[in-house]
Parts: sequence; structure tokens; C-alpha cells
Amino acid sequence: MITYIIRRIFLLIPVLFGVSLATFVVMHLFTTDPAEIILGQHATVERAAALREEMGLNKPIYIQFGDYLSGALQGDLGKSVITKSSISEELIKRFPATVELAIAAICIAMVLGVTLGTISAVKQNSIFDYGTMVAALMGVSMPIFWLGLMMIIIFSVTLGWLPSSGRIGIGMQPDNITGLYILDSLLTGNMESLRDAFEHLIMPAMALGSYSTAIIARMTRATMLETIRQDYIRTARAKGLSETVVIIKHGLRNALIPVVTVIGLQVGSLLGGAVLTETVFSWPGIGSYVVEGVMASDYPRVQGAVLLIGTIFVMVNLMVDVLYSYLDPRIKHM
Amino acid sequence: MEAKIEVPINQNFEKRKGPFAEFVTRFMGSTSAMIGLILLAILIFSAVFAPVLAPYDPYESNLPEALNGPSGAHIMGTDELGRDIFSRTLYGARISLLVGVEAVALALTCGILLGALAGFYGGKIDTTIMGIMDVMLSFPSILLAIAFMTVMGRGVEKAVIAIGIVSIPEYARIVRASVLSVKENVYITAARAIGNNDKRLIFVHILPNIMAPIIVRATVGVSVAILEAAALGFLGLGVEPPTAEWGTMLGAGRQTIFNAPHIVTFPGLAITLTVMAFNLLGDGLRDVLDPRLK
Repeated sequence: MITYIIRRIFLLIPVLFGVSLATFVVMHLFTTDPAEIILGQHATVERAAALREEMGLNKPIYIQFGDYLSGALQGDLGKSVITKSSISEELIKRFPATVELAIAAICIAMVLGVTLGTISAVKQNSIFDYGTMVAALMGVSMPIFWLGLMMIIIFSVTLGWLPSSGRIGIGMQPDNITGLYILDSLLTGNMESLRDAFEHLIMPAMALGSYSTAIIARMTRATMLETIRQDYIRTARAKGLSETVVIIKHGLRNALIPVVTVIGLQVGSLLGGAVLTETVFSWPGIGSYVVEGVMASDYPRVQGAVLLIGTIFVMVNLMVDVLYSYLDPRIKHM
Repeated sequence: MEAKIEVPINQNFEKRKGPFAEFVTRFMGSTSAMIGLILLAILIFSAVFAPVLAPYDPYESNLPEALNGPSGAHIMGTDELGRDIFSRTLYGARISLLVGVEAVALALTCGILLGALAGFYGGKIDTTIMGIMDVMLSFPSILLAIAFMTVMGRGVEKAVIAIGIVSIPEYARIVRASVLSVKENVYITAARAIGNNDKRLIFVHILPNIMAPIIVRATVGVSVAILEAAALGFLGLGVEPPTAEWGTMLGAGRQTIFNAPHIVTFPGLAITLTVMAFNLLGDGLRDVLDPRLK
């Protein structure tokens, strides 16, 4: 097991190198000259040339990549061409917001998805089952940014129950411990902040988790239907165990193994969804940082954020693989 | 030298259904496939006959009537420039269907070629191709599409290229896995033994036998491509305004969501229905073509 993990970590090196190379190459195909973005179109040729020299844009491309890579390895992703602020610092500041949103979304998706999927399977062909499956179909078909907008229309504009944007109200921020507002409010016992953070979090998390909820519900239903037809389930019933024990202890536990992989895959796709959800709800995370960078043609910013998201994505996939082989020893790790 | 063997045809043999007829029968029996097909037919009809069906010019602005809610004159209301949302939604079907299908066609062509090469030849070719695919799969696809659009600029063709490129790895993986699973079969060895070259082996003997999972994946892939195109439009990276495109309409409507929520309601509904049509069709095709995938 440990050799497997070490081997997988070594295999990460070429992939991460590829990820940074890909990000760099794509961003350097950028047609607009960064010097022009900073100075505007009417800058003198000399000033533009001086700035290009200062930014290292006159060096051969492989040296530029080398510089970028060694900077990235030391945690320096360069400076934003617009705000001149350090990209790494900005990403560190925004990172907890995205993590909080993603964790909330995956929790909602797991709890709701597994519960709905299990009940659907147990009550196959009932109205509940049909309703859940139609809802799941909607869930995979709806653009999450549209779902987000509809939620804002219903819960913020019409009913006025929930705030439509941001992470927390002005002056409500709890003392910074982890950067995750829900957790920080709990740790400091600040119930007002907790409530406010929760009200801000619930809609974006539901919107972001909708697709995963639908996928997990479908998957749980399918594997559960297969499992509850097995002989050992019949045996468990014949032993006189209660239906709840049979379904949860004997059925669900065995049905969940393939579901875990799907959940793992969803963690990755949540990162893509976060870009859209954060834009809709003006959530100050990494996703909205990318979009703002794109709008401002601030390519070092986009490059840094894309590199970070790619790296997290690769790491999460590795963790899922390891977890999966731990949960299901039948999977060979060669 | 080619030898021809004449096989006498037994006239009394009970006539079996051809594979296509069997496919049609099973397809008609699948509820989800039929619902998907009907939805899709309606969408294609609206897209093709948009100029006839649309009550207004989708590009004609009419500022005095801007941001009006649904009414008898404008069943879906008007947008921030007073344009008829129903007409724009009808025209939007053209862009979404076009982008979805073209992006998948692009991804499928490249994915089949790369996947087949990797699976058939193995070795260094395989390692190189799949290495590149793995790097591409290291990014959420929408993020990669955003990066490409940032570099290339806006436009329908550019959206097709961006979404097409980011979907290549998926198809390449499926094709490679399928090629690996069939290439050791006896009929491939036989085909090689009678002197077929590699190109013929891949395109005539291997690919037709692995099409089922690819067709299923491509159908669902169109729905993913439509969602991604809408997302790009929503972020302001899709088609150039004033082109009627659903995602772009949603992005523009976001600004007026507090006083005119109807602007974002209908284009979003249109995206959902279109994506649902392809999802249902894909689910149905999966049941019909490849029951093992269920």
C-alpha cells in the first residue's frame, strides 16, 4: 500500500510538469501584449520596450518558462499586471472561500444524493422513485449558473430570505483561524457570524452541488437496486433483521463502493463548477478570481489560478484513487 | 490474389431482422430515447424554422418596450433593449445546437484518431498521446475552455474549437480502451493474415466494432458541449453580441435580475430542455446499443 502511494506520488511529477507547461504555453499564445495592457495603446515604444524588458518578456520562451516554474515551486506565481499585487498572496487569501464552498457542496450532494438514491431503490417504481429520477435528470441538465440565478430570483428577490451575493455580511466576519467562516464561527462561538455565514453559503452550495447530487442519486439507486437483489440480503431478511438494518447495514454498505469513486470524480468537477457559481453569487474565491482576470485580460492572474486549480485537481484525483483502493481491497495496485 | 467463394443461399431459411431493423425496434421501445428524440425534433424544428416562427426580428431593439414582462404581445417579455425574448430564444437554438454538434464532431474526429493510434500501436506513441491527454484531463474542462477563449477571443467558431479541444481526451480514452479490448481478437488476426494494412485494420475492422460506446458517449457529449458553450456565453466569452445565444442572454440578463427576472428564466429553460433531450437520447441509446454499460 505504502509503495503504491509513493509510486503514485512520483508519477505526479511529470503530470504536474505537464500541467504547468500547458498553462504556460496556452497563456503565452495570448495575442495581446501585456505591456500594452498595462500602459494602454498610446504608450511610447520606448516605455513599452522598457516594461517588456523589466517583465522578462524579451528572454527566450524556454527561459521564461524556467523562471516561471522555479518561481512557482517557491510559491511565487508573479504579479497581476493590473493591480500589481502578488498573485500567490491573493490566491492564498481566496483559497478558503472556494474550499468552504466546495466542502459544503459535496456534503449536500453526498447526504442528499445517497439518501434519495437509496429510498428510490427501495421504493422502486413508486411516485417517489419517479419524482427523484425526474429531479435527477433536471439536475444533470440544468446549467448551474442558471439554477443559481433562479435561486436568487426566488429566495432573494421574491421572498427576501437569503442574501444574493458575497460570503458574509459587513462587520460579521469571525476571527480568522482557518479562513473557513462556518468553522471559525463555531470555534469562536460567534453564533451571529455562524448564522450569517450559513445564510450566505447555502444557495451557492446548493447550486454548485446540484449536478453532483443528481449523479450520486442515480449511481446510488443503480448500485442499490443490484445489491438488494443479492442472496445475502435475502438471508439477512430471513434471519429476521429489521428492514432498516438490512437496507443500511447490509445493502448500503456494499452498494456504496462504486458511489465513492463517483463522489471522488465529483470533487474534481466541483472545481470547474465553482468558477461559474462564484461568478453568479459574487463569491470571493479562486473561481471568480479567474473570471475577473479573464475580463481584465490579466494573463498572469489567469495563469496562476489555472495552475493552482489544475494542481488541486490532480491531487484530489490521487487521494480518491488511494482511498478507493483502501476501501476496496479487490482493486489491485500494481 | 483474391479468392471468391460462392455460398449457396438457403431460400427456406427464416428471414431474420437486419441489425438496423432490430435497432429501430429496440429504440422505439425505449421511453427515454423516444422522449429525447421528440424533444430534439421540436428543437431542431424551432431552430430551422426560426425565421417563420419568430414573431419579431430578434435583433430589432425597441427601447420604449425594454424589460417588459411576459404579455400577449411578447409571450416571454422583452430584454434590456426591448428585443423580443421568444424570438431570440428561437434563434438561440440554432447557435446552441450548432456549437454542441460541431464541437463533438471535432472532438470525436481527433479523439478517435488519437485513441486508435495509441491503442493500436502502443509503446511510445501510446505513452506520448495518453500523457498529453492526462495533462488535459488535469484541468476541469470548463476552465480549459475559458483559458482557450481568453487566448483566441470571442466567436462561434472559436467556441466550437475551444470546447472541441477540451473534450478530445474523453473520446481518446474510450477509443483507446475499446481498441485494446478488440485488437487481440481472432478476426483481427485473420484480417491481418489476409494482408490488410494497418489503416484498413483500424478503420474497417476495428472501429466499426467499437462504435456503440462511442455513439452513446458522443450523444451525452453534445449535452455537455451545449452546457459549456452556454457557460462561456454567460461569462461573456461566447459569441459576439448582438447574436442571440442562450448563455449570452443569461449573462446580459444577470444585470437586470432584480427588476426583470423573466429575462433569465426562458433562455435557461431552453438550455435545460435541450441538454435534457440529448441526455435522454444518450440514456436510451445506451440501453439499446450496449446493455452492459447500464
